[in-house]
Amino acid sequence: MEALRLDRRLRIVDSPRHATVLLVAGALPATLHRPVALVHDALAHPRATVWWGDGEPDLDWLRDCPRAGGDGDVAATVGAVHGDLMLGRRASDLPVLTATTRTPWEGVGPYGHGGSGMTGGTPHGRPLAERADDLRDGLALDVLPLTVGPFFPAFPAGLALRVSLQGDVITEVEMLADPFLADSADPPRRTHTFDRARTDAVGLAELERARVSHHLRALSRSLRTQGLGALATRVLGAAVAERPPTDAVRRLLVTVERTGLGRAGAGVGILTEASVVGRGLGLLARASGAAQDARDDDPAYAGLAFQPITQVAGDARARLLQRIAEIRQSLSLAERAGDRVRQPGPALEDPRVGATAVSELLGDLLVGAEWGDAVTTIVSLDLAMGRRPPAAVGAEAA
Amino acid sequence: MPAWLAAPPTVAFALAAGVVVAACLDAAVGDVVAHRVPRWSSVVRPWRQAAVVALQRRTSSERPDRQAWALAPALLLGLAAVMLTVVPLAPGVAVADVPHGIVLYGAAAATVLIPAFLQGWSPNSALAMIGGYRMFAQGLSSMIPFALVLIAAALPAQSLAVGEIVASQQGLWNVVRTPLGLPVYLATVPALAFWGPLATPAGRDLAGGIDLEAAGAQLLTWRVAQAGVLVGMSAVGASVFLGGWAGPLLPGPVWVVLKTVALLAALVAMSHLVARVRIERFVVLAWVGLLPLALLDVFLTGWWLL
Repeated sequence: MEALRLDRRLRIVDSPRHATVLLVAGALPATLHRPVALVHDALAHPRATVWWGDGEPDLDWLRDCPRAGGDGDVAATVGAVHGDLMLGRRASDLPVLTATTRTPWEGVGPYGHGGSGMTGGTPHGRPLAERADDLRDGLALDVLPLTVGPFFPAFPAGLALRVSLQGDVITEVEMLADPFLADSADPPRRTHTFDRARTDAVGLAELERARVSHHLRALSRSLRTQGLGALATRVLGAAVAERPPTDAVRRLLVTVERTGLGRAGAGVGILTEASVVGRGLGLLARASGAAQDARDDDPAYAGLAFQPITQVAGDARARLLQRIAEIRQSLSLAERAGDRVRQPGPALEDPRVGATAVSELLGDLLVGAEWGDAVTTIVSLDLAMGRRPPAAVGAEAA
Repeated sequence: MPAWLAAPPTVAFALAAGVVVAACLDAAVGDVVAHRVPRWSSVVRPWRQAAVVALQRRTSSERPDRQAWALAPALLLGLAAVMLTVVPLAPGVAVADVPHGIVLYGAAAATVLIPAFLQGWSPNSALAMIGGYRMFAQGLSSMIPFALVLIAAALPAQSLAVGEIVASQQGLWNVVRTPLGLPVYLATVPALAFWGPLATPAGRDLAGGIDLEAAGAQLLTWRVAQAGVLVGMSAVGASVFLGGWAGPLLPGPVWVVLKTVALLAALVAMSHLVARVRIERFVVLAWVGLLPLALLDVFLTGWWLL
């Protein structure tokens, strides 16, 4: 999905208002049916939807949409639909939701006066504006309750937060359930290198290259969030390339460091070492100073002089520096690994961190932060939706 | 043709040409940074995108302030046009060769934050609103240093007319004579034009912020107007700090265009190579760093003139 950003025929936009075609990829969990309908209805006319996947879509309104097969040229399909739409050969999609299903009346009684409080309940799901104590400078502002996600462009797809804002400062935050976790009862696909490495022998060089690719993707998302779309595209290109030249990746990292990308994360979203130890957070823990790395005890790495890298600060900038340092480390390991093979069995250092693993930490991380800093923090955590927390992963393996 | 009749088409042409150059530069620099082979499509892409946006119908959010929303892009476009009117192409040749040209320009630049706030506030949408707040925070913080470096540049000319300021640089450009001027100017222009590292009001962390709810002709006008503001600020910057029409061999107006494009290219490159600055950090930097630097610029220029 992310690789579509490299296709020059498409331009992926952040707001549905700016889009002409909505691309729905794969089957959606039931909890996302309403959010996707809301996104659909936010597109400006003329608009169309393309469904990308195999089999039958599970939403009624998607059945008559143009489709791209799971392995077809999705960009060509989207391009054709877009062309037809612009030339008036295709009618614009009608809204999926009606005025009443979009914002149902949630007050109590016919005029909302039947319950307690001024209007009785929360008409249209929105409470009246009320002031609350301020966290910053004593200026009490109206509290704005807001649900962000599950299709917020800067967040991983599926992550939804319920936040209360005063101005742009977060006063409360709650992470809503991970929509992909409930539905992913079927065994994980074995296509990802790190999923295969749990059960099969995998070449060490291949494993480290997969780690580089993962971290480059995360770096690309950080760059995009900080407004550096073109450079993000270049980093993403290196991430999806089969075997990017090591020197080119190293030069690219220098270019990334020169943009001052870390500045946005200095002192933002600090995770203390005490809060991350023993949670299986991998890179996030090392960025806070905990020298925990499963590769340290893995016999496959013996003799490669592997040393876990750590940072001190534990903020978003430290996580970025840690990611860049680990890319360099993995490039070097992959070069020296030769034809070593890692056998399954010992704990695997998987770069992917499940969103639920950090959900308890989110409150401390985000409350009191400005909205921009909160987004920087969440992007720096590089959360993988649909992955169980490490404890559950361990139980699976056992 | 009387001057009052020739002025509007002249300004419109300059604005349109500048916006096209800005869009093409942006696409080309983006391709270079992304390590993509620049193609002809880079030049065509901005036109195509503009055509697509123009074909889209306007959307509405829930209970927007329609009048203010319609006013915002028109006002911004008007301000961009005002900025261009004071730029002299040759001695005495400007659409508005007024005695207080630099004040007129400063007022137009400072007023940019009104349409930008309206664009965020009118759609009645939370993230767009936060974009509007951010515009005020960065606009108010950068306005004073922005105005001070313009005043420092006007001191040697002993005149507030842009033409006089350019004429006073014929021996020595202000970029050398008031060395702090251009750096402070280039640090505050992105804040006032909500561009590049200071495009925080329209940031991706707000899913587009003030642009979030806009679509169709409204969005197209808004984007054109924003590029126009950037062109206006580059053109005045080229006149005030880089000697305007001064230069060897080529005719004066060509130098004005070349210097404007050079500043525009610097601003475009900045947007592709410098990461976004935290809004709080910028506000602190503006009051604690840029403001004293701008004051120092004024004092040093005054001392040099004595």
